[in-house]
Amino acid sequence: MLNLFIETLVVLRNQLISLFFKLRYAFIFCIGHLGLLNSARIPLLWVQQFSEDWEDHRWLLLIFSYIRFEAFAFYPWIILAVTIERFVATEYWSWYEKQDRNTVFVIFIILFIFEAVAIILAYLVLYQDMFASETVVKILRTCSIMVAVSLILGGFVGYFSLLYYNHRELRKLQRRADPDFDRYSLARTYQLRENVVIMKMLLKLILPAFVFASPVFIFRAGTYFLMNDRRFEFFCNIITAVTDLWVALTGLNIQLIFPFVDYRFRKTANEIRIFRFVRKHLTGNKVNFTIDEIRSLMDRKKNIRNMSVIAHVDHGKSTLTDSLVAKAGIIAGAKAGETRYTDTRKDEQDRGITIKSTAITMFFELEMKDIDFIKGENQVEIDDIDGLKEKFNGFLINLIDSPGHVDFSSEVTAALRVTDGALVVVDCISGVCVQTETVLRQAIAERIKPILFMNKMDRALLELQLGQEELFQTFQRIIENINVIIATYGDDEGPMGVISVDPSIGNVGFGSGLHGWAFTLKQFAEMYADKFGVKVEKLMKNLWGERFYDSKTKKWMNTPNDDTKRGFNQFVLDPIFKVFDAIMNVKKEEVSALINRLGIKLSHEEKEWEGKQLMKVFMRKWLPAGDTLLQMICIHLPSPVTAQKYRMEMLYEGPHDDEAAVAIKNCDPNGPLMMYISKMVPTLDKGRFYSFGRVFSGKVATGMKARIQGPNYVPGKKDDLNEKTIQRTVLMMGSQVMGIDEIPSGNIAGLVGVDQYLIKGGTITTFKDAHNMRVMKFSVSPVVRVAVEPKNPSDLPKLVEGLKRLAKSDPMVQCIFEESGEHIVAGAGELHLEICLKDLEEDHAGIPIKKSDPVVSYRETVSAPSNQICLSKSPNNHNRLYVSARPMPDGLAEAIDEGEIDPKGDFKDRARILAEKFEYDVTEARKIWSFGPHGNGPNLLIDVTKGEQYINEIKDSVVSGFQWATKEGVLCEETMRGIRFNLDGVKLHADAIHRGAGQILPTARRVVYASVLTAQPRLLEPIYLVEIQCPEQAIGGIYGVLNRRRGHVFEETQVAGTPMFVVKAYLPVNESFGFTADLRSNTSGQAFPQCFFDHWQILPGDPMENGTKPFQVVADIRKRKGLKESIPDLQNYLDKL
Amino acid sequence: MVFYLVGLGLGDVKDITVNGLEAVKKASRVYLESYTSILCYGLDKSQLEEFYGREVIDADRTCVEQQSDVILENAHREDVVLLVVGDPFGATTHTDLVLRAREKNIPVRVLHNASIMNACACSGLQLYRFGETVSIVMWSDEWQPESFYERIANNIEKGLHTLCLLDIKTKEQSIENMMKGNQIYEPPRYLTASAAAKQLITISERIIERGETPAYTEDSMVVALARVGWESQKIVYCTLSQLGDVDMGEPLHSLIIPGETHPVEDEMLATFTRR
Repeated sequence: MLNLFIETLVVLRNQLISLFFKLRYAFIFCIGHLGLLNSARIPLLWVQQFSEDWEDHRWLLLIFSYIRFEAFAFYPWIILAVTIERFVATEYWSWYEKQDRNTVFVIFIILFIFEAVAIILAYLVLYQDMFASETVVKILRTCSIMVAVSLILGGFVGYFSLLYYNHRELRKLQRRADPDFDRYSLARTYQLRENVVIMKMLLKLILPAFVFASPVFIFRAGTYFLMNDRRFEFFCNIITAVTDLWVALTGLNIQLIFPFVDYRFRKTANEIRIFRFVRKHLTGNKVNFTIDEIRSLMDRKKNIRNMSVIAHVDHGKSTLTDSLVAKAGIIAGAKAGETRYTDTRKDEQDRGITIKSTAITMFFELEMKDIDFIKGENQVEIDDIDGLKEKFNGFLINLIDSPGHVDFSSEVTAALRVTDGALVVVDCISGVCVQTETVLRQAIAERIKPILFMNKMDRALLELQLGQEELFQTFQRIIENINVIIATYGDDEGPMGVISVDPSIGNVGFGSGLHGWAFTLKQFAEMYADKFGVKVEKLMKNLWGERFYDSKTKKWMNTPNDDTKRGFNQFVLDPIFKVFDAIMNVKKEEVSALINRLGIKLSHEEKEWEGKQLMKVFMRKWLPAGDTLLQMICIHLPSPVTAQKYRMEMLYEGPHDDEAAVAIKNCDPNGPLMMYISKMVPTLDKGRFYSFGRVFSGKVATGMKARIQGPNYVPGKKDDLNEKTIQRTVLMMGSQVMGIDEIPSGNIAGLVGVDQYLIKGGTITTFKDAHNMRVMKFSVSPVVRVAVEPKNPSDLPKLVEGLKRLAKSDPMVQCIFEESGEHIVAGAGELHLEICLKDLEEDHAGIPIKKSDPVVSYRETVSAPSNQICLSKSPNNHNRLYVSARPMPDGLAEAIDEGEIDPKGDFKDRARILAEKFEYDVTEARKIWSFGPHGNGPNLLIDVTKGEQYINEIKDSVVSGFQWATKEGVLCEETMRGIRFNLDGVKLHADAIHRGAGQILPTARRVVYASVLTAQPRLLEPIYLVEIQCPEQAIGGIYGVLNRRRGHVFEETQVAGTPMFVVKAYLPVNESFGFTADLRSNTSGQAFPQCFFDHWQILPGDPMENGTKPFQVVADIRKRKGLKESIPDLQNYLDKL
Repeated sequence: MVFYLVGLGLGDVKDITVNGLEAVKKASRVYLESYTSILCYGLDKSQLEEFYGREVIDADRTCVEQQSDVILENAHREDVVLLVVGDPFGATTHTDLVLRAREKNIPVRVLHNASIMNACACSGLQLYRFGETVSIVMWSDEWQPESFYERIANNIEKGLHTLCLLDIKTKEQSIENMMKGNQIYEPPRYLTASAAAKQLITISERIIERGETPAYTEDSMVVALARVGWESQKIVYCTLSQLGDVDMGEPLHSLIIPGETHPVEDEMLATFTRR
């Protein structure tokens, strides 16, 4: 009975057990499949990281991860070991990647086999019932356990040693100011960082799993030894059942953990992606920005730097920019300085000058040790990784390389508008030049923060052979000059904070763009900081200015004596001079000593080099320019968040507290969109343009509807306003573009599909009540013009179309269609015109064109008050206007041009300035009706009537007539300039119908003309300021050429420390055509002129008097414009009572 | 010989006086001043030519105001006629032309005719009680003069009626075209009585905004006249706000703002009350 009961019980037990096993298999099978995707992800990620073409192995990985999961569910300890060992292997793989791929491969294969054996053994043990012989089973079990244990032990040892090694290495790399810290080691840092992150996570993840699994391990191990003893059979079976359940639960548990794992991994995965892209970028194999990566960086607006590079022509902007481009891995380091990557056009490369400003987006990671130098809460994003506050050290830099030639200043203006900081490059040999001042002034007016770079140090050292003190003095003089300019146009107490440059805080760089090396005092201070045991910041102060080091007492002094040497000379210039001396004078031992001392790694080939070649590579490895520039940019230039706080009031025309203004101020990506389009960039698709500009607030996205407001848009009206869909948003990368879904505030963007609604620039917004962003003010004006016509008359429509495109593509050029049928192209200078016409011929119109000789535009003015108060009657004779003209006081026209007297500003402020500076009567100055032409020109219409009825009713008509008249003057329909018109009185018809616009407007125009003709009209011609650099012997030739061309010299100075002279002269623009070539031939090519538009000057002589020069000019212009040849008689405009 | 200024009256061709017709028949050139008013044919002068059996030259604003020499050319040797709708010295004053003719020693003869200035009496309001006549200008977005309000207010204060002539623009250039010197003209436009009423209401509202009391309100009674002297003449007596919704039909329209009224005037006005 009992036996039967026991037997039944045993059968029942066996049934139960087999049922349980079946259930278990089913359960695990299901979970296994469910978990497949999840678990596959981890090895996939790893393989992705280290293999370029992992996509090909995807199926393999899937199978592999499936097996892995199956095994994991049964024998967690095995898989733990395998995972760790695999991890070690991948780590070694990447470590040896550069050196010996074969060895790594062998190691990898061996490990893989080992792993495979472990897994197969585990399976065999699971299905042990298949084997008849118990010995075999025993051997199997023993092997399995041995392999597993050895794997676990080895894995753990490897794991912890790697963790330790990674940590140590990382800390070492972060701490070390190592010249060897090249791109590879930087990449290594990222890898180590990501390994540490992954390992820490694995530890967190696997330990609980291991805790779960260990009882199974112990109990199962116990049953192996007790199984054969019948006494313990029952007990063993119970144990097996329990442990099986336990294993199933573990599997379940892992399944439960997985979502969490996945979440953690996804977070890291993003980081890994960024790391990977950075690494690829830095190791310079190929540029591989993916849009997602850039997009994610764009949101980190505090880590964005928008900057432009500005300088005088030939001071080496594009060359210097190359160093940064090379650091970003876009071009090879050795080519930096020669490629001029940002000169994308063929003619730019051929001529060696920049013509169009070019934008390029780059990503860099700043070294962790430098990140603490960044001051200000809005200057860097802070990440929260596992509760650890860490400053994010990746920086997105949007750099715009601008042209230096004065003819292309408008490109600089457009570039400055979209950036927040400017790298001012100065050639330390020629010093601060006119264009340096011009662009710097513009930058400060736009509230752009400057940093300074002293370029061409190689020439100072090699060609001029300046001594240390001389070099210091040169630097100091340039810095002083720059600071004088900065102080003239802005001040340190302004909203931007301190903007003057100072080497001792590190915003002045020195070096050579051509040779690819540069430093700031920070670099040198870091080298010595340990030795002196002082802080870097403190040491930097000692390395500049009147600080002297006494090498005997080892003390710093404020005054020099016999034992002391200037800190800058002693610690900065001296080592550089030593290097130059050793290399250029081929002192081999000294060179190799220096190489060792500075820890510079040169390849065998490079070690063989000599002279300049060696020096280049030596200096580049010692003081890499890219790193220095990057530090200057990240540390000293403002982020959009910082900059827009103080730039808003300069940028926005509307009230400073409306929604748009607040959003701009906060650089708020969730606010209304406010974007300013500063220029148009031609697309490959002929005739279409990318609208290039800066997003100041909100987000601009593909397919969104936005308001496109042209410069003439007035809030509340419909003029110059279009509500259209933005077809595409793109990123501008040098000559390439990349589509992107949306671009948040603080970034620079290109738009497609907006170009046809804007002529040159404008505002894009989503805010209904938004005012315009302020229009850019150019420092040059289009004074040189040519008439163009197609060689083949039937091409005329193409020419007209081409001219329209040309007008779009350049911020400055004007294309005018004259009444006479002439097509005029007006540009800032001869070179500018030449480029524009070339573009027109080859690109925009694509037809051969004929062009006239260039002519300049003139201005009409008056030289005395009108000799009578002029009267004109309206067509119906019932309305009479009395007006007199007089010249403006000196400087007023310029003040209006420069916006000092702002037509849109408050009339009381304006009147005060006019009264204080120009001695105008305050009450009169308050009654300025209009500025003309275009509502902002340098002519004034002032109402001086007393208590006339209906006067306000005719104001609009009179103003329109005045605008018309000042736009097309009486002499030869050139613009008027510097004339003040007084409306002295009016007699009006009693009935409103009879004093409508039709009556008043033409009358106003006539009376303005009459008043000009009675006030001794004169012509103004544009005058260039010419700056010529030349050696002494060429000066004679310069004077000869200038005299022949009505020019006169007003300044002649020698550049300190050089045999070069700088001659400054005034030269009429009209005489400047061919001036450069003439000058070169007369000075045997030794003189280099630079022409800048400076002012307007009266062309002596009365244009009304036959035989004078102005008379001739007027006659020519009238003929060209198809007007009657002689100036119209006064009687046409002046009526008698 | 003589420069005739001939009034054409208000209605159709037959309104010309016999003297006038004779002058037209014997003159060597006949001009029609076509920009201050129109006959019932609108701007089409073919009916006139048919009736007179001769060519009539169109004289637009530029012609009369700026090229008066062309009109007066040879006028001391031959007869020249300028036809003016209404009376030559009525609503439109051609004094300027007379002065210029005198300058050239050309004898001038004026043949009067009916004008809106007197025909407005058809409303029953007595001509003796009219004050200053004002023109109401067609407003544009930028140009909205209000100076006529002052004079309407003056009239009302004195208890006088105000005849408001409504702006017509038969051949106007836009400012843009004027600047460019293009001879392109806008299509003819006429200020309607209802639009004028709306403008007047706007002005009164603006005055209230300024905190003053307007001389009239939107409930003031006004008389709207359309096509006076034509067969389709129409007169409506209603409030300003009602007038805003009244379609007076074809141009030309005029408006009278009555001052203090005599009982007979009231009786007469009542016959025009809109039902």
